[in-house]
Amino acid sequence: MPAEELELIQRSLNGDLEAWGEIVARYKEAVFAVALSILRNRADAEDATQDAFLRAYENLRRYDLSRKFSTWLFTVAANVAKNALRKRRRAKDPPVEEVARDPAEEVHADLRLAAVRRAVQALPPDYRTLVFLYYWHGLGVAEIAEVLRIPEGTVKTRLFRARAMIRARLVEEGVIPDAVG
Amino acid sequence: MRWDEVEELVRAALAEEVREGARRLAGLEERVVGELARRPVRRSPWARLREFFRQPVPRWALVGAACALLLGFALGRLTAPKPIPQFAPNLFVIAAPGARQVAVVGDFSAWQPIPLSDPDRDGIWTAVIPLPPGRYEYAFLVDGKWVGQDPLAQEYLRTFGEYVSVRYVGGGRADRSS
Amino acid sequence: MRIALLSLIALGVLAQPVVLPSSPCPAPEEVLQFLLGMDLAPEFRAAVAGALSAGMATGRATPTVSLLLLQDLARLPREAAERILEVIRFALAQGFIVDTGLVGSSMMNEARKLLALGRKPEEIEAVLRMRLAVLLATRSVLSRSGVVAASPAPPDKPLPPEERFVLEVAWAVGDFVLWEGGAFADPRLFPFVQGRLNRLCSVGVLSAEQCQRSVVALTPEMLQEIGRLAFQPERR
Repeated sequence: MPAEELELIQRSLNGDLEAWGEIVARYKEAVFAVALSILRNRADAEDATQDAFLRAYENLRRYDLSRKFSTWLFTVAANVAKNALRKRRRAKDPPVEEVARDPAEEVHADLRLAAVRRAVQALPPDYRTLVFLYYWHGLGVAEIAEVLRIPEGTVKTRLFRARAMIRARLVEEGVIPDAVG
Repeated sequence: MRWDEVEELVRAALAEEVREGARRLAGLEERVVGELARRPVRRSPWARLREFFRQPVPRWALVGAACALLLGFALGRLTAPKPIPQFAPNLFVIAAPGARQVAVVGDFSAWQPIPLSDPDRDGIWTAVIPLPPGRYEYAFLVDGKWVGQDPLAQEYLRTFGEYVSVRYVGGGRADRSS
Repeated sequence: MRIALLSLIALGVLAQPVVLPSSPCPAPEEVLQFLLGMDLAPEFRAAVAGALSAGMATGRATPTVSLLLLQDLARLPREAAERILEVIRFALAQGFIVDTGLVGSSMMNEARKLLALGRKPEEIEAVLRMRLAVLLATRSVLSRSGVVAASPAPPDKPLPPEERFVLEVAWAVGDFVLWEGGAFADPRLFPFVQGRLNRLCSVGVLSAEQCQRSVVALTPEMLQEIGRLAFQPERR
């Protein structure tokens, strides 16, 4: 862990909210990405991001300083987002699923990119989160296993299947040929 | 298009999606800090617990202890040994190529290491441990290093940042590992 | 005749496919003998001996795990060993199960696990104190709700089966708060505990009667009250 980050965490542990604000600024986008991958709804993901930082601050004493801070923070964020998802399902209030973007806008965009976005959107929730953590956050298999609290073997299997699903969708849409190298 | 190009597109697509959504995050720092500042100061559960347990607890006197000792032995002699519950063989297996020593520790051994073996030297270390029905926490030790995530486990716990695997044995349920 | 009988017993033991426990089960006297040799204040040692012998006689502790833990504690500084032992002694004096032997988790096995993880004595003591707080709160709430008897059996009397239920509820609540990072007011506490108890029912750790009566009687409010009592003692 960089010394500067360690100092921010230690100051936060001593109740320095300004230091925690700095942590929020550094990680808000990454935490938002975790929440968005689970909730698939920007407004809900924004709320979950805020809750995740509040909850992480409250539980900061539980964080083991020898571990990677971001992994712990993403675990908290994933838990908060999953909890929000459960509440949402209980409330039977289905979220407005985000489409990639406005179709009119899409005409001018990279069609291949839009197709990939749709393919990722269409993944089952657990797979989508994993794809975010792997491709956007750049986490390794072991770290993803820690964040999602699943065995490493499961991470590998799901990653393999997620790739296959994305590939199948892109083949279906004619974006890529039947076999890619 | 090659697969690595598709992967690049996946990265770009996710980045675009996050970038678009993250516009909502402007000022989040202030909102979080403001919310925390409004909340009442909370002491950690540890601090509260320590304070609670600083209250002295009564101790038994010597005479009471001696009486209980005698009574304990008397009851011990009266208590018939329990029948041995049925033991089911449980496979503990871990891939640890190149390891020199692999063991499993758990509730079933009172956390003493039970060595695993790899007779054909293929890096797959195993031990079959007959266990009576129950819930067991355990972990592997690979060359002394704690490996708490067994893919065959039914649950995981984290203790002081280290994983511990949990397995339930018995009850007519087919044990995935045996 | 006696030699023949002993030979038969030895043969029987050797023929068992059971590899656990790997060392022969010690007699309670052996455990107490070891305790007497430990560097502890004499009065305190006698108090622990009394509690432990009653515990071993009534099924609240087992000689195997007790001896192993005492051997561990003998390697610690005297004050640290005494502080950990005092938590266990106090729990035994309240009639709680502190050791379920080589099946399941309880105070003594938890202490052994934390030692295996290389944790410091003060951390082990803090965890055991938290476990004790949850045990006390669990019994209090469950007895007030009529799920278990209003007054627990004295520590030197045979162990009522409901003590195992108290232990498992307390352990699940403790695991949720201690190791899952959950707050006791978290709505996930109830499904977590229910899930644990149902699994314990499916493997027969809890009796059919406990599963049909006590597990079903638990409510989210009871569990939150247990958490509140255990983790916010100043509001008692």
